[in-house]
Amino acid sequence: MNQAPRDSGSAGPASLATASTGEVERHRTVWEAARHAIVGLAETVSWDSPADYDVVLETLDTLHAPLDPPLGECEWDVPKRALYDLAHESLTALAAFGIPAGALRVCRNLLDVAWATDPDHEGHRTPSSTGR
Amino acid sequence: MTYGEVNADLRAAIVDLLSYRRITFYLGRAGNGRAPAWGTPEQARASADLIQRYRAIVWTYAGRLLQTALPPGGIAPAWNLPWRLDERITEMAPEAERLPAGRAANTNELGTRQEIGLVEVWRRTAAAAVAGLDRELGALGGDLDRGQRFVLVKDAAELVYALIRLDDRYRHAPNWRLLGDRNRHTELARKRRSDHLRQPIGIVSTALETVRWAEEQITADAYAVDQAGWRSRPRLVVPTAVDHVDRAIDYLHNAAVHLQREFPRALALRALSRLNRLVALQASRLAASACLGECEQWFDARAKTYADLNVVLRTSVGGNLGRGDRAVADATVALDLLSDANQPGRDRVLRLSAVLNDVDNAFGARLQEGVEDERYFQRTGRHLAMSTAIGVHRSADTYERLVGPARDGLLIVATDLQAAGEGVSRAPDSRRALTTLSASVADSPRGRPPKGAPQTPIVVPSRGSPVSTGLPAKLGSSNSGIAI
Repeated sequence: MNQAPRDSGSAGPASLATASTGEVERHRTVWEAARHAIVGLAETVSWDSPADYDVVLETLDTLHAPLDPPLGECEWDVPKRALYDLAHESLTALAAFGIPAGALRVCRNLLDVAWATDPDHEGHRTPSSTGR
Repeated sequence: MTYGEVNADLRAAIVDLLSYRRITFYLGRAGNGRAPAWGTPEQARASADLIQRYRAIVWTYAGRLLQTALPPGGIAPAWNLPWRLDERITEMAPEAERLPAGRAANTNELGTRQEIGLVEVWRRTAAAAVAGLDRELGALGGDLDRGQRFVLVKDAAELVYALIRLDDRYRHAPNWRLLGDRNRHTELARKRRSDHLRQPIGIVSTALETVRWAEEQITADAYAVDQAGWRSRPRLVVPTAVDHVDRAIDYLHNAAVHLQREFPRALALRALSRLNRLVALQASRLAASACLGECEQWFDARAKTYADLNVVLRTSVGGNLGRGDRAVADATVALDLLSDANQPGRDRVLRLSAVLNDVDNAFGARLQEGVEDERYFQRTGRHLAMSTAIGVHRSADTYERLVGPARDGLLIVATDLQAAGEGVSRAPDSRRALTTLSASVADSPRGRPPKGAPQTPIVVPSRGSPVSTGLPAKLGSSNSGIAI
């Protein structure tokens, strides 16, 4: 078992460097919830869809760089709209952990653009619907 | 330059040289008692001296070419002929101290255009040989397969044969020394004592036998060696075009160059994969507007390949080594430009497909490098960190080496992307072998390149058989719970 190696020794957001263990865990939980919701949305779009949820994911992970993102698949069986709402709320909640509010606003705007481009708002996300 | 270009230059120059007869006349002296002399004896001697210095370089190239072609680690009996030819070449190599002025041609003589036509052709020959000696042969080195070695052996043997024939033709040039300091023409015949001794002993018969032997074993695909060799470092371009597609092509070229120059960390690789899918969708739209059906199909297949890759990259692959931001920035700008483009015309779409091939090639190479060199990892779950704070273990993500179907699937995608870029499709056997590594790997059909595509050929999959990336739907295990 190992952590993914990194070039520099910088520790990502200042909040994670100085926060207590419980604080870090809560931060990672919210980050992970946002990620999983966005991953769930990204997996529902087809290969030829112009909807781009991945850019939200990349921006979110970049805000936490060089920390390893909590990768993983979305295994929830929920409507797409619930995933969208959860992603929105999670992106807002991350402000409480020292992530710049402006950057989070950009993330939410990107999410809104992707959501507006996505023609299917009423779909239902299942673990097998990977969009392939 | 490539080996093929060096070889073509050399052959063209040798053909020119073989068209010259009555050599003494072309050097300035009277030819065959009838043509009057047009130069002084000193000029003729200086020209002959210079030609001998050029010849020494070409001879050295022929020897080095043959040595490059010989398989490393001992000589198998099957390679007896080229091995003996190599010995003959070494025996007959002109010694530097016996050359006119005690040296081979220097840089000034190689780079200065000669007034006398015959000497100028020799200069071209030597210049091509120097380019091959300095770059191409060094770059070929250990990358040759067996079939390609035969191609090199044949080229070297033919070059040796041509030089010996030319040598005989120049024997009456002033102060001329035959190769190997021979005092007669090339050998007359083979020994004929018994069958097993009936083997070529002189350099001409050895060279001819070697050519014949190599020709019998060369297969058509072995000539791919012509594409190998030293390549100049790709250069960035400054996008100045007004047209959106032209500017996008420049930015995509720069993205490919940046990708070759710096290794992308996993986050940048994911961004590039995402951008490549969207760029391919835009390119498909433009190809449809230009009525280029084959290109449209290829762009669609490309988008699907990257869409499949995105599923794995966004959920399972990590790794913070490297950068890749410049390539991402250029690809982002290119996507914006392509989104605004309309009615680009056929030429622009074909050039777009060519530059996307370059991007695919660079992307595939980096993906393969990252997987094989263990720069990318797969996240397999979480574990409790060793260190404790106030008696509580923190949970941390677990990253492990890419192994099994994940590694195989990514490598197949990387190989496919590079194969599409190079226009070379893999042999069915190797594809079958790869497919057995992962149960979820299916065929990835590639078709013919679209008509009129420039430069690198493009490989187009058929629409009816979507490209499978060979990636498993899930990598590792996903554990969203947090252990405290």
